[in-house]
Amino acid sequence: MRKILVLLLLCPYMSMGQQQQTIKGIVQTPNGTAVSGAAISSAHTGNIVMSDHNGAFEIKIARVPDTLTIRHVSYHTATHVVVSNAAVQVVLHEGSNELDGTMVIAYGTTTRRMNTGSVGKVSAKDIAVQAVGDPLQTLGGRVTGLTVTQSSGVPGATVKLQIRGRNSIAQGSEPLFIVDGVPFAAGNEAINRLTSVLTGEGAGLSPFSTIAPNDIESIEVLKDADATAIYGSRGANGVVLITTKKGKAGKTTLQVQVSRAVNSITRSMPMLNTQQYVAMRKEAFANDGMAMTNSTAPDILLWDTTRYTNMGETFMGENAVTTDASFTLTGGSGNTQYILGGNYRKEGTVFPGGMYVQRGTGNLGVQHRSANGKLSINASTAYSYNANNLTAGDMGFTLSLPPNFPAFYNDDGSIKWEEGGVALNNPMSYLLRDYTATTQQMNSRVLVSLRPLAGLVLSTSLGYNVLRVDERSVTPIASQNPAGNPLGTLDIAGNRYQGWIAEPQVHYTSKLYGGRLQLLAGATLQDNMNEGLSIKATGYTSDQLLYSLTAAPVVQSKSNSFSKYRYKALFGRVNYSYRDKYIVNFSGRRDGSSRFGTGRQYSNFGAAGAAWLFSKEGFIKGLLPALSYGKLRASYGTSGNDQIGDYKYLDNWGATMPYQGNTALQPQNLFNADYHWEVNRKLEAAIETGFFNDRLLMSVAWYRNRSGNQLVQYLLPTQTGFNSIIRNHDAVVENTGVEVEVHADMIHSKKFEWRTDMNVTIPKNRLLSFKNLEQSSYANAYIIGSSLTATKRYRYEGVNPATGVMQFEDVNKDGLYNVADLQVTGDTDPDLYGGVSQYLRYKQVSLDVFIEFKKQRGRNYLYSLYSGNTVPGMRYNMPEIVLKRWQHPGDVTTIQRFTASSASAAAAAGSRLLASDGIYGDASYVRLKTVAISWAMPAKLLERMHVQQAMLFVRGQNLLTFTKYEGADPETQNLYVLPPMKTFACGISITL
Amino acid sequence: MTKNIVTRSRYGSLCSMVAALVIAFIAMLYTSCKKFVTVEPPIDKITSTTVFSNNQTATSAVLGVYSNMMMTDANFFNGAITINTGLSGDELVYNSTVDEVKSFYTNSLSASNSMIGDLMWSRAYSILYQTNACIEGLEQSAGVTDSVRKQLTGEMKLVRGFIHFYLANVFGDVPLVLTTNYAENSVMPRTAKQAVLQQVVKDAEAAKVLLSDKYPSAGRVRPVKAAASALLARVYLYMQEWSKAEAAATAVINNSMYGLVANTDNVFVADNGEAIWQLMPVVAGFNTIEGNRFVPGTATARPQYSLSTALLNAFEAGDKRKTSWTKVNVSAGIPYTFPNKYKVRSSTTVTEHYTLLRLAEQYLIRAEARVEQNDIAGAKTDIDVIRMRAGLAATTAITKAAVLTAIEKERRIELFAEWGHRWFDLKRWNSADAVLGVAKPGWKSYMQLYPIPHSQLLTNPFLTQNPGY
Repeated sequence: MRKILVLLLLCPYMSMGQQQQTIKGIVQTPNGTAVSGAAISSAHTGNIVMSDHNGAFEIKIARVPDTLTIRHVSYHTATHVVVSNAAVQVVLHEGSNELDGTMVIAYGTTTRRMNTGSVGKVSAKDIAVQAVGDPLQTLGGRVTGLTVTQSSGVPGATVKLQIRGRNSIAQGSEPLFIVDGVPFAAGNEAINRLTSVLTGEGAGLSPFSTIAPNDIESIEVLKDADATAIYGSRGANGVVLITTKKGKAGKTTLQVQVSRAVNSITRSMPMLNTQQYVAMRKEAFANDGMAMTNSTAPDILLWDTTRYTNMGETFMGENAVTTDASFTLTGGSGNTQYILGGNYRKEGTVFPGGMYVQRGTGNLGVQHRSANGKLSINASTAYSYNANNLTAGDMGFTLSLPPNFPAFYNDDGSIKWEEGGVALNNPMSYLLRDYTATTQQMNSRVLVSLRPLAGLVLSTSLGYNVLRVDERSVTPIASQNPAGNPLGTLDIAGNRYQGWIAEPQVHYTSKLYGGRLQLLAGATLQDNMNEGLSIKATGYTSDQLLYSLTAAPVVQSKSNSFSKYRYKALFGRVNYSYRDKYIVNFSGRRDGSSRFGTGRQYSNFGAAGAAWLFSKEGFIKGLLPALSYGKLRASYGTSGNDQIGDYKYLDNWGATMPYQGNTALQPQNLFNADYHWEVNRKLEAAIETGFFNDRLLMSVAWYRNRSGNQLVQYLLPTQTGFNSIIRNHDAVVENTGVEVEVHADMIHSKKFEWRTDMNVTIPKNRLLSFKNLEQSSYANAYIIGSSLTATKRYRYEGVNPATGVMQFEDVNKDGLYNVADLQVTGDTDPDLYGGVSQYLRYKQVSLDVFIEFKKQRGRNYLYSLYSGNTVPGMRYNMPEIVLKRWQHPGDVTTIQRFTASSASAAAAAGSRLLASDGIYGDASYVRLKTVAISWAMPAKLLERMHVQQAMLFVRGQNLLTFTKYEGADPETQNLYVLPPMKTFACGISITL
Repeated sequence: MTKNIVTRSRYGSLCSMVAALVIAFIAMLYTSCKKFVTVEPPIDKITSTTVFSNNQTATSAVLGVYSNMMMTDANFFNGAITINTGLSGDELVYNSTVDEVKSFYTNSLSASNSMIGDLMWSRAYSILYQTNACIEGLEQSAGVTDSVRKQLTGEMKLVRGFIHFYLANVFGDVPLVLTTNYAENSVMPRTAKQAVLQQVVKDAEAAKVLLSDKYPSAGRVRPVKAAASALLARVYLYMQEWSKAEAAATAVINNSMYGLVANTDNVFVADNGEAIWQLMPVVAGFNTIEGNRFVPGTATARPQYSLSTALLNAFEAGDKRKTSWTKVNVSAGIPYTFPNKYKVRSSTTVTEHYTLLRLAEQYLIRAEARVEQNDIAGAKTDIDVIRMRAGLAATTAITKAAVLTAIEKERRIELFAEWGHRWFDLKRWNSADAVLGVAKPGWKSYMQLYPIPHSQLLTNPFLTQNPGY
């Protein structure tokens, strides 16, 4: 099957006995290109070495014959029998090798085959086909156990991640984010301080929008105890490792990619037109038995009722254009490699007024290894500059404006503020309220490794991450109704997150009793700091100097904040692999954190994992010849959750507004110095199998995470002076689930390839126990045995056919609705989620299709209709669906009678609805998330054009959504929040 | 073979040496910075012990209470009582459309109304915590001098009494919170209103002993002994302890620091002779929130809140207070009269302070206390002091009942749109149902008490709701 070149070379420095031989060799593709990064392992000794940039390797073997196994992520695994000391040439054939590709784990790498823990991976090729700006958006549906929720479709908005459900009742449940070995200082919290079109409903400016997806080599999601316990107190919610691209040896290669995209909104609800709106208003007044007056119905009596503006099209209907350009330059010699990359992206919005978001990034990385291989240095730095030019106004509300809203501008082009004597909240004025946020982010790391002896590596990783955002928003006089003699306002705010980390480590690899022992010991010193500032200046009597703080007549408010987090730890790992068949892995960490009071600062965490590659057992081979890979693995261990905020153990007093010109102080929190670590116990068992030479891979994992000694922001009645206090509580939250992954390499031939990947997660969250729940302040918030998202609410019974008003179950029939009538209702956790991806290639044309699905309950359109005290019939436009309303006694329908009065029974029912289960419904969806078609230029053409590779591509994101969801988008679940974008992109990529 | 053994053992010993060195290095690094995880307190905050270690910062803690009372949302201490009870009662008409505000006017309050939950209940208890924290901090402090400790403790006890007084009158029975112990406070049930008022008396009496006669700083923006007497006079009046009420009011009236301001335009300006206790605005751009909310933006704008026709009709002809303390805006042809006691809507200079206690009320308290003790003549003298200042003739009432009616009317006019006086008066005179049953459609007796916030019932299972909600 493969031609083998044999050369004999003697090792000059080692003994010549039978026991120690060094075999040299080279790994190549069929056309002779060197393959670097292939793992070569000896069946007899278990030694593993990697091929260098020339494809060359040296491996020690103990005897001949021995069998070498050569694995690489992009090629089919090959074996080679060594019969003499001659040099070896191995030819690898292209293909995907899911099992043996590099997988980044804590302080090292492994492969899926040898891993004892649970790690999900999204690689560069899956990221590349997605036309999105935030790398976190690329993860949705691609990793089992990971839920990804986009908070809004405004570019730069936060993306929430959760790994294996919510572990904590009150503390953060975001995973730990590590970029190239450096903890991301801002975590995944919204980094803005000012409100803007980005904020609301938990949304904000995403810190990860500063990273260009194109710069990322892989994103690993660490889930179980085996993978996360080494992160100790920070690992309870899982860990996300982002690894950027590295330099590659070989001739200098420049890759350039340019694309353009058009975005529009995925899904909204059609709203009433003027005719329907006017009819609704009239019916509402008739229902209430009230006559319309100029003050109660100016929209009907004083405004033109024939005028029509489609608000959705006017305010969210622009085709937003995105331009994205990037380059990557790599190259280097055997000892030194480098990468230089850059990305520019400009993304428009669907709002009018030319708002946009811009990003420029640059990254530089150098790896160097000394000639004798004893010293290696890996340094990288990435810088990113983002500018968000948006509006401070909330554009979502425009949908609820009456469709006969008067002309937005007067004849002279000025903003219209009044019609028929009624003041107008003119949405065009919001476009004048400039909001800009400029974010700069830098991530640098130096890793120095010393190999004084074979098998021993001493290294130190030094990292620095800083993210700084500067915000500015203005409320010009021109954006306010002149009737109120308005003054201009300037808001300035800043936020800086900064952290450094130093991690000395010792790695030791040795043979032991016929197996391979890997030891790791290390220490961490980490220092994080957050500093913020905000100033509100007002009193500007002219818009001319609105951007000048110096010109501000009055500083209305000013504040700054500061917090520091320090952390240190000792960690270690012992991994022993016997003949690549039996593997055990122990890891542990002792953590000290400044977030706790004296005497409570330290805690120990640890985990054990084991794997049995049963397919290597002779009897299995005989029993199941089709089985090419089979592994059973299990792990158990602990990790902690320290996302509690800084200084919470101190009884701090801080400044409030000065009184009489003197400093005034106020207490910041209730005092409790005694709280300590929350502990998360994770148990996992999984079976992984491969058939037909690993072309069909299947794995099933079961996990159970229990978080006890809950460190809760314990809700208190405000009669205590505050609404919460941090304390430990005897409560246990459990997350269990089953995760299934299937990978099928259906066809791979020269002309045609077809691969399928599928994953499904079936999670379950429940509150296992809570001491004295009934007597606690959580009595009505949580239910033992139910999910943390299950709440007690009124039971919605639909619209009463006789009265036309929504009704709710009055449990004790006392005619009143109060605590006694609240009942346990369903949760809003996903019941099931996952994704299916297909890769097809026919000759030069390839197709990537990715479908994400999620089965869940969520807020429906009724929530949007009734929140904010709006009720169908009032002076707000409504979705067309309200035409189903009740009109006559006997009507059986889902929308209650129209009303224009806040004192009506229907309006009262509306506010009760918000406390009922009526605002929840099926929010399941199947989304055609990604479709990418690309055409790679054939080799002949490439040669003629003197380029290595060239590709034309068309990509689509969020193209279709199949759902029964009643409302706008099932992911954002709010009619007035901008849904995720539907994107069409096309572009070209050339490698020189 | 020999060479091999040598290589191996050398390799082995070297290896263990290096490993030992590195482990020692890591261990040293770890232990040497044991203090690494002990961070210094944040640079923008200080701990409780430091706060009460000296006169300056202890005073700052007490000033923080006043500062927070004067935040510019219409909260419990800054407009909410005046506006909300004015709407619920027969003083104010609501002309705008914010449903949560409107429900006060239409007497259709919901237990989840955030103006009650957040701005009234929670804000009151938040400041209450602050006063208790100050009282406890001062008690344990060694660094604060005795005179300062007395004055500051007295101030905080007075504020604590003031808060409990309003809580009890707005909500009825309420949790009586006297410590910062959250474990006890979080499960505390409601205390009977009478017992709460007893504690108000206790705090005010203690404050009277502790407080100095003279204002400790410029203006009248921190309470003194007379403020404690003024609050005592009011509580005793509400408790119908007439002689004590009279005595307390007399103590204030006889205090030479106070005298009625002749010009009614100046009753609410900063540092006027009638003011017993005022609060100083802290947010730039504003004076008082009542001025900001009541005075419309332009001369033709419709005011959000206007005075009820019944109240306007109750003014006698020639009453200076009508021209001084009310104003008319004609908007779209319709005249609206709005409260104009505070005249500054927004300004960068501060000319008005927010008055919590003033002398005129003390005269009316004493008048009522006197007539209840059958001192008709004494009562009439006090009423007439108020009427004279308003440019009116002496009262013509003769009988006890007539004098009581005169007092009721005088209180209605003198104290309108001011700290809920009218609303509380109707309730304590048991005339709320009679008066409001006529004035407010759909009035029911239970509406005299505001609902306990729904969120609080959820977090404290020992709280009960007021009937009707």
